[in-house]
Amino acid sequence: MMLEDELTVSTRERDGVAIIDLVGDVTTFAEEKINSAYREVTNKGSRFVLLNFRQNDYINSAGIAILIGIVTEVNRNSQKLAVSGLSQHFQKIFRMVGLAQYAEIYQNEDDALDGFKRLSAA
Amino acid sequence: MELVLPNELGYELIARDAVAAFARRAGMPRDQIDDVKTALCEACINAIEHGNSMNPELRVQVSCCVDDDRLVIEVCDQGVSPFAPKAEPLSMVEKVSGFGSLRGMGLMLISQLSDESGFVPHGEVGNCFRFAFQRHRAASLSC
Amino acid sequence: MGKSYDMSHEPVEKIIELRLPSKLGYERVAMDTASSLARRMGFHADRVESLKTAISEAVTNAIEHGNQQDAAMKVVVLLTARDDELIISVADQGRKILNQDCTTSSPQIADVLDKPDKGGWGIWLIRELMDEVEFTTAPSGGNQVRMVIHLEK
Repeated sequence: MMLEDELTVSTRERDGVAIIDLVGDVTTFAEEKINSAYREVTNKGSRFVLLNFRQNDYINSAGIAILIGIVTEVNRNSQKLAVSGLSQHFQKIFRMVGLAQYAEIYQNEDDALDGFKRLSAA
Repeated sequence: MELVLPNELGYELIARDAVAAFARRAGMPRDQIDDVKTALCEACINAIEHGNSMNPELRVQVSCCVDDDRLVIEVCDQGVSPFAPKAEPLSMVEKVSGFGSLRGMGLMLISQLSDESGFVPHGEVGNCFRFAFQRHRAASLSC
Repeated sequence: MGKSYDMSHEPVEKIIELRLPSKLGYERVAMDTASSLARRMGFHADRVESLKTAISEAVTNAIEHGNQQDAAMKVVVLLTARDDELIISVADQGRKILNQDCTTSSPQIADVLDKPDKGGWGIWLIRELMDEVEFTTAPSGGNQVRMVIHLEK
């Protein structure tokens, strides 16, 4: 029974932003996948990192703890972090937990890229 | 896992969603899960309407077990009268022609969707109907 | 589900009982069962989402902490549907008893950032998302959390 394959993580670049696509569930099983994707884009020297969620109808507190770990690293490495594609419910949860103070929340990928553009122009 | 439901039509839909989640967890393919869902609803409706004779005081118990080879589901009622299926189920032609009740359709559907099905001896009062689906992927035992 | 009317003045309630193996991932079964019931009771989509998150945290706690991930131990979820509310109780077999201090903590993200353990949000989320929350001891001796979500029509 493969519980771990509930999440697919992949990375790509668009307009100078490293995009980490997270498709599926973000729970305790996501830790290695998310951390290694983050390390990969960081080793490439990315300054702007976008966590792009898709079909994520299940993010739990263990998943939130993993994302807080990413925030810690992003601060340490002086990168900028944003998230996109979250459902209304998980946008609410991210705000409740306080993640929104550390990562701008955008409706979708295009809005996030526009946001990064304004940030790098400033 | 086990699920105990009120004996009321409509609750088979809750059981369907619970068992579908269980089957997804076990890694079964989507088309097979659709078969599981349809068969489960039919088995629950039989238990509610026939086994438990619509008595709201009674309960229906659904158990699911999955191992490397198959998913086995049991639906048990608390009916006092044992289910006595006809020796020879009516054919579709006979049913369409209006012989007998259309009600036996549920069991026929389950037998076609699952890899095996039938009533099994049950220690307590009531009927226990078991049906099973062969699995195509390896898994560890979990009930 | 047709509403049944009781001639006595007792509130009409229907109970669904779910027993799950203590293995991470099975909380999904509890989430889908509860959301199926809540949707049919008429809860709005956003309340159903809150319920799913709360029940996933409660069941995950029971699996990981209460039952220490021993798959042979069961997590028992009771869903009691009333006309105006849904009561969810989640009980484990209490291999490890919940520290009462954990049931009232409110973590702050700024404090958590530099700590190695970035968890501890589960119970806080349950309290934030549900209308009533109570931590007790189950009849079996395990941990039990009772959550209530009110149906606003």
